Amino acid sequence: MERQEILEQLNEIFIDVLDLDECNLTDETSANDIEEWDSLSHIQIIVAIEKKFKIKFTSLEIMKWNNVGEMVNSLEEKLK
Amino acid sequence: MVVNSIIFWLFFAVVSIPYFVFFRKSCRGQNLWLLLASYFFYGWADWKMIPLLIIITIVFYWLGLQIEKNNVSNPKRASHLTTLGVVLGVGVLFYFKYLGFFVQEFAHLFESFGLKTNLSTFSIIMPIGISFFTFKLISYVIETHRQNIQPTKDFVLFSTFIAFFPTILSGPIDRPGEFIPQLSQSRTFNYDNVAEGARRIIWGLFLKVCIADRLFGYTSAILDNYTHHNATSILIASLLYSIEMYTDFSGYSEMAIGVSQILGLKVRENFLRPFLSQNNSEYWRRWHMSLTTWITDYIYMPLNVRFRDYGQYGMYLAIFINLVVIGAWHGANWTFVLFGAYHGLILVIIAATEKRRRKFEKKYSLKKKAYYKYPRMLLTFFLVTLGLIIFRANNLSECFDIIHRLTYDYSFPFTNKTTFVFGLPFILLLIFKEFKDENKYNIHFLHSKKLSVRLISIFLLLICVFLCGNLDGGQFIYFQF
Amino acid sequence: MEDSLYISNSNMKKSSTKILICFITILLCLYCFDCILGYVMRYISQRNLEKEHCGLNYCLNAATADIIILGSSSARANYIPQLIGDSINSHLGTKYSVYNTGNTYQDFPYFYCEMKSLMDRKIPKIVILDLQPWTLSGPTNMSALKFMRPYYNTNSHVKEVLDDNETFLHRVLMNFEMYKYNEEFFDLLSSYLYPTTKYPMGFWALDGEEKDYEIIPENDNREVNPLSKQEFEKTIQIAHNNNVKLFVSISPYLRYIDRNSPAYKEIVNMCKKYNIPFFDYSNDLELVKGELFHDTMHLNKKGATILTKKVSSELLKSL
Repeated sequence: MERQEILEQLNEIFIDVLDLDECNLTDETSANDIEEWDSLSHIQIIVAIEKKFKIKFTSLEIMKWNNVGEMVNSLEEKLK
Repeated sequence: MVVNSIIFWLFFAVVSIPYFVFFRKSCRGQNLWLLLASYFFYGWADWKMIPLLIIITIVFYWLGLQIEKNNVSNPKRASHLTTLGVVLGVGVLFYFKYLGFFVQEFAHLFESFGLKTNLSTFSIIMPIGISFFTFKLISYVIETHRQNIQPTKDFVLFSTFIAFFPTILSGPIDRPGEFIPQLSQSRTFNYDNVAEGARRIIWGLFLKVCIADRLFGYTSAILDNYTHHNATSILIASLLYSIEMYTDFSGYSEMAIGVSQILGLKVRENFLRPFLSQNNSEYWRRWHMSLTTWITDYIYMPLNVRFRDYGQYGMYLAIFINLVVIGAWHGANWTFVLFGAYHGLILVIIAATEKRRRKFEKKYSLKKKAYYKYPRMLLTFFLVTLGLIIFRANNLSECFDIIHRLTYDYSFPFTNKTTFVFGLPFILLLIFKEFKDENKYNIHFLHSKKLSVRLISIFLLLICVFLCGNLDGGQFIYFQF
Repeated sequence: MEDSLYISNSNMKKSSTKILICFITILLCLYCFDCILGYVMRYISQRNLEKEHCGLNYCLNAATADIIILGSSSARANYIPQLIGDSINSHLGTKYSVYNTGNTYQDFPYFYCEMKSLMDRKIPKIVILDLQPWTLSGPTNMSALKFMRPYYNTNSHVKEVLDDNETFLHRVLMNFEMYKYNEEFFDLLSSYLYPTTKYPMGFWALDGEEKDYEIIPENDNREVNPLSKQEFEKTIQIAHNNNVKLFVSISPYLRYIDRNSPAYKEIVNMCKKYNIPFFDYSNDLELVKGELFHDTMHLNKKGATILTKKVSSELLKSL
């Protein structure tokens, strides 16, 4: 899958889980940028991603993420 | 040396002068000097534990470098080394802090079955500050493993991070990612840092001496002898105890942060006006932040991630465990566990009703309304006070006894003139300052733009400390009970 | 490189000079305030002498009574000077005056100091020492010491007692008026501004009744404080050396008194040793009743009347 496609799918997940009207994720977006993105919704987002892409992350991978870009990197790796 | 004692200030003067005069160009020199001072300081408090501190520092220094080496080449080994580090840190903490308690509890259990042991008074001397420096060490190896930091090759720097004297005994707990980079540069004598540091120290001194130590005599007299007092006295003493706990700990933290700031080092904040929280969830984000964020980052989040497939119930369990751990961290007693469970339960309820509450607040735009905010602040304060009653009790039966006594016998309370005459005005001053800081009013005293106003404020605070503060170090003023 | 070093050096010089100036300014202001506070407090203390302020003040500066009651706030509430005076005077045909110097939380070293000071003024004929059963155990009563600090420079007995009980550091700090008058300035100021003259002879009548109380047996195993014991002994010796008739009394309380505690036994032993009449009203069933108490530690006026009558008759027996 292309990075851009992954990013768009992530965007949809964020809008769905966080109940947003719209969302424009970039590689640099982090939890500081979106008010509704807290530790609770973070887990919900991860569960939604794992369901949608039918993959499973390890705890270590999840803990390492600092922004959306790193999430996309992990996804890219997993989907190869 | 207690931070609000004269001998500490002599020590600090002796440390800071060479730090800024002789070593100002050399960060290595400053770190080495700080390291020596820190070990002297720690040794003054508990010299027998210095070998432990040195050994554990060496082990974790080595672990950090090994983990980094293996992170890319051999991730499994890196994982194992990290686990080893965590187990070692927790193990050391468990051994000194909790083993004695568990042995005693087992001994009591055996005795209740009629089996005699001579272990019911088994206890181990706890090294002072162990709860704090083990946490720094554990976060170091975990962050190295998560590749959020680079472990340092400079042993002096690493040891200084662990043993840093303003924070080694009672925190705040710093993270390697924030503190180590600061130690990698030399610190200069900076007017703003020194002035702000001094202001924080004086405010911390005020909180501790004029409020916390002032309330201590009263709260101890009543809560240590609660069988002789009626419910009104116990209630008042408990409410004042919450304030005492806050001013004592935040006063100490302010002084630690101020001392560090004078030395040019920024230390994590510990308190953010916790009693202005509108619910318990917010309270735990504002109280003893360096500890709660540590436990959130290294216990709550991993647990949450692990339980993610169980939906909300996984999260509730993670929250509950999180708070129990925070409670148990405070000491080896079932009361601390109950304290944690109590708060855990409240936070789970808050989390479970989060979505509904947010909708409700939005619908009636309640968030800014005074009649919504202030009752919630009061309710939170009462819930926290009840938690602190559990926290303070010596054992579970005492805890339940005190709570039971709060349900009857409300008559005229025990009063002490000195406590109320000197305590209440300063508490009101504190409340005023908290609200002012929260809402960013335009009246400034300690942070006024005019130097004269700032100096007068400092002068007045010092007068309060020396003339109206409890200078006996909160010593138990022998009440007639 | 050299430029930036020069700039950082001169910045440091500027910073440190500014800090030093601020620091010295504040120190000077504090010193001035300290001196002014000293003058004001000495003036107020002087004025307070002319009124009947409190027990210690009375003993140090105004004592004239023949019968003195030393004790804590329990003593102040429990012993009615007028009744004692009337009873003794009518039986013995004397014209003794009585004063109750009881004050909150006081015990040794405070009593020792009061006793010594009384010897400098008019030596009383009788001293009733009302002790709490636990008074000889536990740490030194810090609030008693604090109470005495304002008199440190004006009374040599106070100086002696404080120096014995406090550390070297405290002695250094006593040179600062703010430390000396810490907390106590409020009482001195309020006595000056709002003098209380409604407590003749030092007795404070209390009202009300204590209805709900529990007497829970509790053992007090605390060791006797050697310094307190020493001061008790010295107090007794002063009384003996100056021909003062000393009586030791224990007031009734609505709480359990552990008569096996080291502190209680020490009081009994000391009284035996020096042949001092010892009255323990804490196990007097007539007195330990809720309706006679204001709270668990102090009698109300009714209880005080009954206790004082009992004390007066015992005093007469011993005189």
